[in-house]
Amino acid sequence: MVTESALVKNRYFDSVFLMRVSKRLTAQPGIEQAALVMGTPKNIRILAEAGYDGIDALGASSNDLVVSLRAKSVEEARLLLDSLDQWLVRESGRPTAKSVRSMEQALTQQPASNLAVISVPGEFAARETRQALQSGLNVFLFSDHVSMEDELSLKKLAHTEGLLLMGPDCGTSIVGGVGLGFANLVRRGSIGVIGASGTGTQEVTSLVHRWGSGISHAIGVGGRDLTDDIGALSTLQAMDALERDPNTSVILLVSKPPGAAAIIQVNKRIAACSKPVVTCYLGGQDEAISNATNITATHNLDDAATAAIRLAGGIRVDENSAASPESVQRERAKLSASQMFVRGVFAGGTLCYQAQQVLRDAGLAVYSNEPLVKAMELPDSSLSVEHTLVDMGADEFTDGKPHPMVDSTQRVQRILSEAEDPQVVVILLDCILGYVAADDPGGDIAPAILEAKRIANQRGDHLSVVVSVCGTELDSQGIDAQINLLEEAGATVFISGFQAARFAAQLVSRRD
Amino acid sequence: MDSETAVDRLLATPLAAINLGVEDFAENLEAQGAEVVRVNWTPPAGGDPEIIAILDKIL
Repeated sequence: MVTESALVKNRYFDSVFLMRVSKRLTAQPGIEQAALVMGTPKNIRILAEAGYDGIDALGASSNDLVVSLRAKSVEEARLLLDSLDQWLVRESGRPTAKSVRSMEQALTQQPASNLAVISVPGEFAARETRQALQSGLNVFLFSDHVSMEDELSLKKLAHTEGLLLMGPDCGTSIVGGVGLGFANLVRRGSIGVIGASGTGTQEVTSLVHRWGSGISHAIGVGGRDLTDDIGALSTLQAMDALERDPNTSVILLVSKPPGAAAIIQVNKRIAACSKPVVTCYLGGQDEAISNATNITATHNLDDAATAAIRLAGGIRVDENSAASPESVQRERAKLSASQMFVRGVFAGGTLCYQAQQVLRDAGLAVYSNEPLVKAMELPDSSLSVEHTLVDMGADEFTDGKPHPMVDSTQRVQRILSEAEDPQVVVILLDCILGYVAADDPGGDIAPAILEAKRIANQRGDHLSVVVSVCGTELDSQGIDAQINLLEEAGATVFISGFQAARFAAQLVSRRD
Repeated sequence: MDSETAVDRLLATPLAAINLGVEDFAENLEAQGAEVVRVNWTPPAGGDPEIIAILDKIL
């Protein structure tokens, strides 16, 4: 295996575009992995640490694109590096008349602007966000790697200006029926969501839709908003806005358990709220839930969606589920006594987190790179031990590499390596649809599911594969087609991460 | 009830967005019928943090 790199001077490309190009290059003959990053000092360091030789010598700046290939031969790598221009063309690429050089020009062109959508590299994000807030714009801040100090000062500035800052690291919002970031297409309705995580918001809004109800708005606040460092500043503002919003009748708050001081503020605000509030603090066990009469405390996204639908005056419309007691029995009957462990390979952080909670509540000790408690942290994220659920969207898998919601390459490798372990009973996966996600996420992992089962079969084992699909029939990928693909590959498929994790827990728990 | 804030207006009026960064986000907003102006963003001052700090002070 060799590594070869090239520099494309003075051309800036956004991170999602580069992920897509990386995915296409990695699929070329002789290429094991393509890394495409802008030449910021941080990215250069990451590539050097990943073993790409000669990166420093390229002399890249933040405005230059660095393309590094790990390939079978120098010739195969050079063939691609010498024809990079043809790969760096945007498929839908049409420059629009509405494209300008600066935020000031944008405001001149569109004086009625009410939102800045910011997804520049983290080291520049605070600066752009400050400028947007000072220009009177609410902000959806997708960028991560913004410091806690910057987040706090930006949220204070937003609060002072009467503006909302969604983020940093805000994956998903839905404002007035319009999806921002990685959002699913869902019916409009009267449930207003406040979500501290992107995939948590995607899952709960998709479930509300699938079960017959709808969403007024879903306001992302960023993963750290409910910590004591930030003090739930955006959450409290979002609650104010949703309480006043005439189209919202119920408010649903999804987060990890808030900090000890933040939860007091949140409880106080909920008690003063004139609308019913459903809370869903994932991973928690004994947080200080308010005893206010308008609060419904839930601990998983299914219960949260169900409670919100009921409070909004609807009835949960259930679909056929793969989780009948007979199906558990049938699947269990095929397993051998030496098979003991669950292995989860997730693209969605919150789905991984919720699944850990489900397994924990079933009495299983589960390791993870993003564990519920520090004591269960995987010593090495790349190696599973006993019951392990790995979040492949965590920094150690995505620094300099595509996120698994866009490119399944790393997830496929991990699925196959889990299948090599004869102690594994079940591989638990998620498949996330919606805007920006891969065009065919089910099709990307289906061959790996088939291969994983074949690997187990060759040694005389039956390997269960359980997948939850997050999305709706309105998403461009189409949930029914995705479910079919996964079922044809032999997976047991659910439309909820909670149900999929519970099924996996049943397969390994209390086996005689 | 307090007077209407910019956040209330965000929820009550059609989105008019300014996009900096990921082009897909702008395309998806347009596909949903929202107004969008794209800023062709590049790292300021070639991404040099010292020059950016000086520029921020002057401007």
